[in-house]
Amino acid sequence: MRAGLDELKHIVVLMMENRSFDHMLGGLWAQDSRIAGLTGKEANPDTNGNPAPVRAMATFQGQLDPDPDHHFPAVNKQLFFPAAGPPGTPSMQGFVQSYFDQQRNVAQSQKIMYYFRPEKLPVLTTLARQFAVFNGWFCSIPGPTTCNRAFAHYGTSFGQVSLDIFYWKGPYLSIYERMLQAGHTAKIYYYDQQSSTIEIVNLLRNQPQIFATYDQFLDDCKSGILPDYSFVEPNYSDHEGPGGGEELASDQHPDHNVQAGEIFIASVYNAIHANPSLWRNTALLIVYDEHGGIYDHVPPPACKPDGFVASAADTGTGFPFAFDRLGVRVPAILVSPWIPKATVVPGTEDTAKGRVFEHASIPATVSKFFIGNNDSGAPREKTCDTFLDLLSLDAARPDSDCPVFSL
Amino acid sequence: MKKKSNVIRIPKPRHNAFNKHRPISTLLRMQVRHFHEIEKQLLLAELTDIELIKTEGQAAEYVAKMTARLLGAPSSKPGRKDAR
Repeated sequence: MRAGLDELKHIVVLMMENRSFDHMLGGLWAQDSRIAGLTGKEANPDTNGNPAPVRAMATFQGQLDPDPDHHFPAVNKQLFFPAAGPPGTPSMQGFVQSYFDQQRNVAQSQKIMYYFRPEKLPVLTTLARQFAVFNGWFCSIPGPTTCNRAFAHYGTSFGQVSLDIFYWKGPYLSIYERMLQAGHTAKIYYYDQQSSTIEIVNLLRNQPQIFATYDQFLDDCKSGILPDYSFVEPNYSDHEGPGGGEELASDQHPDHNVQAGEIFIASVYNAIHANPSLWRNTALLIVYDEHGGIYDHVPPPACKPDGFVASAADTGTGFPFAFDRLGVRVPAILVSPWIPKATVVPGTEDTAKGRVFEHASIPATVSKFFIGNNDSGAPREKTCDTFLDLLSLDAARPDSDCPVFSL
Repeated sequence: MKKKSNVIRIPKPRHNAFNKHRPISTLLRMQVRHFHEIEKQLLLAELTDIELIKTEGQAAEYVAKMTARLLGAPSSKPGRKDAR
């Protein structure tokens, strides 16, 4: 086993909200052409038939209002326009058309093509350049938050393609329950009680002992008592905090402030990095739950069917969905001092060495490392790729070689 | 003292970024509904009328109340530390 895996004791996953790969990291192609970002030539047709090109004009707040539609039918249009849907390779030509549907405003619809200049996102882009960035991490379903986050927790959404509440149908347990059954420790750290948890209220009701606040996460990092597996949730709402202070949403869900999310990502990184032993034996994955209706240029690939089928009525598209293809590509970055600097994990652009990851890769990786097998995992979890092989160095990088964020 | 070259200063959001009166998104509406489903299962004497929840601040208050109930902890109100 590699030295980094020998020392690995903790896996931490931070899942943010609703931004596509190209929107957040596409500008990095100009710095490093191995990163499958934007050349600047990508465009979608607008409703007047004119090309709406990608532009490095994304702003922190106030631009994607209304929230771009990312329910199953809208994403279907984003992927397949002008076709009605599969079969066939997604065209990635329907993002502007889909956003236009919400306000019938051509100028507003073109903003769905905007992306951030890398210097506007110093935390995310620094971590991407300093550690490992995935060219081929796709959300699990071409749909909204709930079902995509379910794949990170359970390796399946139990047939769900919408935001509706779902009830556990078995036989697949959450990764937290599996960890506890195997004698390991696991926690879901939500930001605070006002923000709480998204998608897994049933888990909160039935297993409250696996939940804790972000303040507890910070304390656990400082004390070196982080569980084997931690899942961190950002703040999902602007609300008053302790003492009546302002708690700014940090999830980066449109139209929440993107800089607040940058600070939150940095605070998670800093908390781990500030404890030298924790830093050496922790792998931190930063990933987004889905694209939020925002443009990405890479067609999502097919995948192993999930075993569930969503009906034509459930998808709202007129045809069923067998969970046999992935959703839109999202930013994903793996952080550890055991990862070579500037690692780029090739994706579908590399037909020889490309690798494909999705949210089922999270429970698959955690299960494989801590429990030793995926026998009780859902079908997608059993076949998807895992990512700890990226901790490939023989010696940890010195602290002087790793960034520190001043907040 | 020599300045560390690997320290990166992160800018803060603008002062007026906070808006607890922002209308709730589809995501927060869904979160409220999920907690409401649990609330109904708890067979409480009086159910919350979630149709009255229109803003992020209101959603946060309801979510805090329900989270505290599920954790068996006191609700975290402004001016109090979160119960753990």
